Amino acid sequence: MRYFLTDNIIILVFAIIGQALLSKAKVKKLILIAIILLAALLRFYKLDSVPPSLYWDEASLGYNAYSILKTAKDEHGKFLPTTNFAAFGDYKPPLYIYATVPSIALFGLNEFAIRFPSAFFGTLTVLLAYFIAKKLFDDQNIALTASLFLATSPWHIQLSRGAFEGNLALFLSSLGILTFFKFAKDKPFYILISALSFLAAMYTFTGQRLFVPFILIVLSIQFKDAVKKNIKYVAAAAIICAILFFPLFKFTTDTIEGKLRFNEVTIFKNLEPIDRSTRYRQRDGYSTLSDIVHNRRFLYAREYLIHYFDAFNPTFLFTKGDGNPRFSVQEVGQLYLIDLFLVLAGTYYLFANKQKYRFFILAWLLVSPLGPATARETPHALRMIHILPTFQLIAAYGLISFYRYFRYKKILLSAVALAIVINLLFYLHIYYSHWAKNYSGEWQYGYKQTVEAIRPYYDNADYIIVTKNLGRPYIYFLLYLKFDPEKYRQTADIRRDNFYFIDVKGFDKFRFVDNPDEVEFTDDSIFVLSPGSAGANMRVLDTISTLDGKPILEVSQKIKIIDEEL
Amino acid sequence: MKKIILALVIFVFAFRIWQTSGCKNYHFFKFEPISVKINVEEQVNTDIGQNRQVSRIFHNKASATFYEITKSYAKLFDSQFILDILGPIGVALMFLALIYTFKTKKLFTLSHLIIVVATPFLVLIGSNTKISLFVQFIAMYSFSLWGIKSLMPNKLQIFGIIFLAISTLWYFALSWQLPSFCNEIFFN
Repeated sequence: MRYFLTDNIIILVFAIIGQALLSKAKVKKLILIAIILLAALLRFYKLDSVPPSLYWDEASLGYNAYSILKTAKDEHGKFLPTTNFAAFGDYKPPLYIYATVPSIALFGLNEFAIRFPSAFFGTLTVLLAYFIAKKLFDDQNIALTASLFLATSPWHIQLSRGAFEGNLALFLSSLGILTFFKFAKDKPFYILISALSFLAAMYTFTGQRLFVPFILIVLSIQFKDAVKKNIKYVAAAAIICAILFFPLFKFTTDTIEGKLRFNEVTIFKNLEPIDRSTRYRQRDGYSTLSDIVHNRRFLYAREYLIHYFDAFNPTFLFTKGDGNPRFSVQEVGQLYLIDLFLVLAGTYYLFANKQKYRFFILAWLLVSPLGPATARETPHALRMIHILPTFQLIAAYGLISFYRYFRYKKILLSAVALAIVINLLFYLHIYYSHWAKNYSGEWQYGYKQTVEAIRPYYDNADYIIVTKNLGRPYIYFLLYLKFDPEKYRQTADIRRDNFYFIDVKGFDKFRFVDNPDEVEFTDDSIFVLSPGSAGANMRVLDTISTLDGKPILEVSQKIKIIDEEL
Repeated sequence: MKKIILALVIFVFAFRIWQTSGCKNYHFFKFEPISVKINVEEQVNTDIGQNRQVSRIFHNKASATFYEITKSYAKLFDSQFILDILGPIGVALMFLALIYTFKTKKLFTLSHLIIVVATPFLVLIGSNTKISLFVQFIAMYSFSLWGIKSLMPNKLQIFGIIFLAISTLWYFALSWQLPSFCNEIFFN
């Protein structure tokens, strides 16, 4: 009896401790930690080797960060740039580069360090999605589901694994949205954090400059009462941010360099609608009716409408993804197929349940493509990245709402979990086994191998002549040789063309050419040319191929004829 | 008032149907079963060095068939395709029709929606692209008319509908060539 009682008391004590230890709240916290760890794993695993190479923008971000670390100047010698880094003449926003400086200091100048900020802040964005969902729906289950959906999202994984400024900017704008909610619901001083986050997003990625104003309007309408009530805080935040934003605003609107990127990509600089308008009006004899029907403004408006709706193209969202192989594996959409049903269900339930923030969520979804629709290439997964995590929020709400109404709950959960696992595994298989191999060329694969190939000959060579066929080779030689930035600036031959693009003709021993005959060279020169370009008097030292076996570069040297009389 | 709006919308859609009848040569939308085989062979060939079982789990005719059909089906809901068929007014009414369908949950409208979702399969498997596309267009036009039921006869909405109808006619005039589904149109 005594032992029976003792045993049962011990069991009861353990049960109480166990229950306290594994209370619902604690279990949910553990689930959240597991989701974040999963997100980190999916973003950091083989980060240095998949994608298979740094593409030129990544290389530029990395080398400029390295230059800042070593000399506090960018590659062109500008001291701590605030509004832009000139780079290739594309005048990159500065914040990603500054965010890369600590990781290069820690990990060295390599692929992992350059991509680290994107992967790190991508993982943190998953955590932000949890908090945003909690604010929107006040339901921990929906919040956990939304964060799980974002953690496993092919769109977000793909862009977290490359050094994409847009991904860091997504973290910042999501932080801005979350802190705006906290301003409206908790404490008013959060408005300053929100405003600074949005400002930082605009300093990180050009696309955010056409998103932040719209989302601020949406947030202000949603929380107009809170804005009116705390107008002093709002005004103070606005003034501080206006002062900080002014240099960027001046650069973007008042300089040719600032407008360059927009002019390069916008549909409104395309002359085809004007040409079409003129032809049609000419054919119709320039009648008043034809001037109205074939008005070029209407043609541009039509183009804009088409580009806007491209963002919701089912092929882009569910089957093929972005046409650019850097932003999509081409076999999986930006969302999984299961997301189609969950997003539709979520949209239905948002309105059927008259969810408090339904208009805000849909407004966020609908304003996100407004800016990217002004560009030629649509749909564009990177320029539209700030649409995340709306799909995941809506899908999570759809799933949990449907779960509450559906009779066979276990079957539903099992089916959805199975669908997500199958979709995720298929995406990961394509990503690691197929995509890296099939599309290594899209990532300028081969330059790193080329630098390794010429390294043994570097000291003895007079010149190293490199073809520009693959695009912007200079940055790779700087990066992989960890070339001293100060020495680079002293020896670089840089030309700026009429369109303000920057062309590096050479530095140190390196000469970057379209045609090797453009420059002088000696018998002790090394050539890096397209396959088959080496002359008959050249000896091929190495052939560099892409991962799918296509030769892309040849390292060669002139055959030296030994004078027998000597 | 709703009857006048209905007549206006039917006129706009009828205009588009008339335009579409001038198409001599339609894009190819039919599902090609050979694409399944090509998909499987291509993917399996890329899996060099992988465990064959693993490769076959991911790349088999069942999964490839599902994927290729989904890909072909999704093309028939491409944004430009939808815009070219429905125009701005049709897209707006389609949204309203979906809201009306899920709000009222009437069997008739739900069945109508199922028909809209099912007709693209006719295009994928049908022998006559023109007839199959026409069936799809008419299904979408007729379904979008349910959106008029959601309208409340206030001035703003009436003005909006009239503006959209005019914009749509203008849009159809600009998209005379029907670029998303027609290679060659008869009346140029």
